[in-house]
Amino acid sequence: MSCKKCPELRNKRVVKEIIQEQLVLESDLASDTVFASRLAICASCEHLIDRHTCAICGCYVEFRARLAYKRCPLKKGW
Amino acid sequence: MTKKGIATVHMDEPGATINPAIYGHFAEHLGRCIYEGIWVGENSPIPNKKGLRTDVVNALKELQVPVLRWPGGCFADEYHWKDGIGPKEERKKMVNTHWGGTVETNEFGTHEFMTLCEEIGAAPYINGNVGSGEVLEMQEWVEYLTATKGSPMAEERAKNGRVTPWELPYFGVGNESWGCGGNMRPEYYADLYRRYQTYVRKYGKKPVYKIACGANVDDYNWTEVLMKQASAFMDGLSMHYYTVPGKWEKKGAATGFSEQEWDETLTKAMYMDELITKHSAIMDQYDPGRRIGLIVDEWGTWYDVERGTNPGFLYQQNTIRDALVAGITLNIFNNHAERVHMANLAQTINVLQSVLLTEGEKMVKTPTYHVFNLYKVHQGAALLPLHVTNGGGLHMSASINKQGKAHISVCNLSQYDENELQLDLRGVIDKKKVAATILSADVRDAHNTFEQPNRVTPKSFTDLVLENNQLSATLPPMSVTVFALS
Repeated sequence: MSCKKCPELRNKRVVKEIIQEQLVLESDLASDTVFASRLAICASCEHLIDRHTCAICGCYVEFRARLAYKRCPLKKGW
Repeated sequence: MTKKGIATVHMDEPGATINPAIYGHFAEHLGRCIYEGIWVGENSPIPNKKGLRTDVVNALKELQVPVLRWPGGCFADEYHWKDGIGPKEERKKMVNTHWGGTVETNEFGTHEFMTLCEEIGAAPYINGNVGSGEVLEMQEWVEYLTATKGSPMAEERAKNGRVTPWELPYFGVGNESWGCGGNMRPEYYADLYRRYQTYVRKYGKKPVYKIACGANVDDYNWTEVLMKQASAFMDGLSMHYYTVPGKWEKKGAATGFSEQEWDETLTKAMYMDELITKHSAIMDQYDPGRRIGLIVDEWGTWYDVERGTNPGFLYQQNTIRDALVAGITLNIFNNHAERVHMANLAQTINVLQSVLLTEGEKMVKTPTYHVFNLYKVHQGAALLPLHVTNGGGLHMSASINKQGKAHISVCNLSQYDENELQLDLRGVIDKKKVAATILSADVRDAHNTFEQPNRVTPKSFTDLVLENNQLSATLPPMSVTVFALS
């Protein structure tokens, strides 16, 4: 199998666009305060890849941290 | 509405043996298949043995995985095996350019893979690097794996903790050489294959089964050229086909899909039968004795990734629709047992049509897992001829094992209709008992989650009668049933 989009997927702007597009479809969102505190935990996590992907669940952290009902897959404070 | 499916199974005419390897799997360094899915490392709080997740090892052991392909896929042609041996802290890191651009630590290398195979009882199928690797590098990998003491590579292996050579039953010479493995033309690859395979030496007691890179889907010219120019040098020729309900740019969702997408998916899964038939017909011209196996070493469903996940990781959910795709495809492989010697579902964990999904310490078995578990009874059994008079939306295969126990696997593809199955068991004289297990669901995208791991799970099936050599049953819609006759 062959995926050819990896260079694009490492582009910060492209990643942000993907996240924003997909969040439009979500309704149960966390507040800005909760979101920021969650992201701070992700930022210092050793499992964060390329500053945007969680190696444990494969999610973009700015997506997962925005969903109120989601938890950190390692339960690291959220 | 109730449909009716009528078929005859010729119980007294056992045919080709169904190679257990038809039920094989594929684990590529892709997304969270290897890291997190299989390998967590010895210091992980997740229970593990030698760094391999205990829950995953146990689940794969239960499945009786006959063969496991590794390290790719596209990854194989950029993988240099020497980076993955020796002390872990000294292993060279690399960028996985095909899959998400992540950094590959090479923590999981040759020793870890061979240990995994030993733990789950699977035969290793290693895919060598032709695209970006040298012939000496590939030769030395085979030597490292299989040579006895005295050889430089065997000494290197012993230095890394393994004195006894491993058995290497299968070796692939390149992957998708028409695409990510080098963008080659078939004539060029055929020559390259002839050269590289020469150095897949027999260092151990048994010769290695050599697999040449085969066609992408319906590229029949590739098969023709490879068979014409290199068939004398191969034991197997691969073929890749993925079931994609929509278009490549917009494949469709793994859950929440429409009635039409269900039908499109299953119709496209059935295309595997035509592909095998046509590729086999070409192979028959050059290999009428069917010595060479058609190796479907990548197959499975491919949907849009789950929302919010890194698209380079190819993570997708798995529903009862995937169970039907698995059931249909495995029936097709059984029915082509003479030519299909091996197949490998893509991919084992956390990627495309995975049998297991993990998140942190949690693991869940998918509907596809359950189909493989139900169908494992066909491994090594003799195929029974099956003539369908009126399919009625059913798809099936049958086999009889050495103990005389027969198994018939039947998929009801309909989303809404139950099916009154009527099977004439021709030649039966001593089959008196029947038992059956079923996997079905109430909605077309039913799936298992970490919160509800057993929403789609096999159950005993009793709505059946065995009388006067006739098996009758009422099969619910969206179901995979395996009957055992003894």
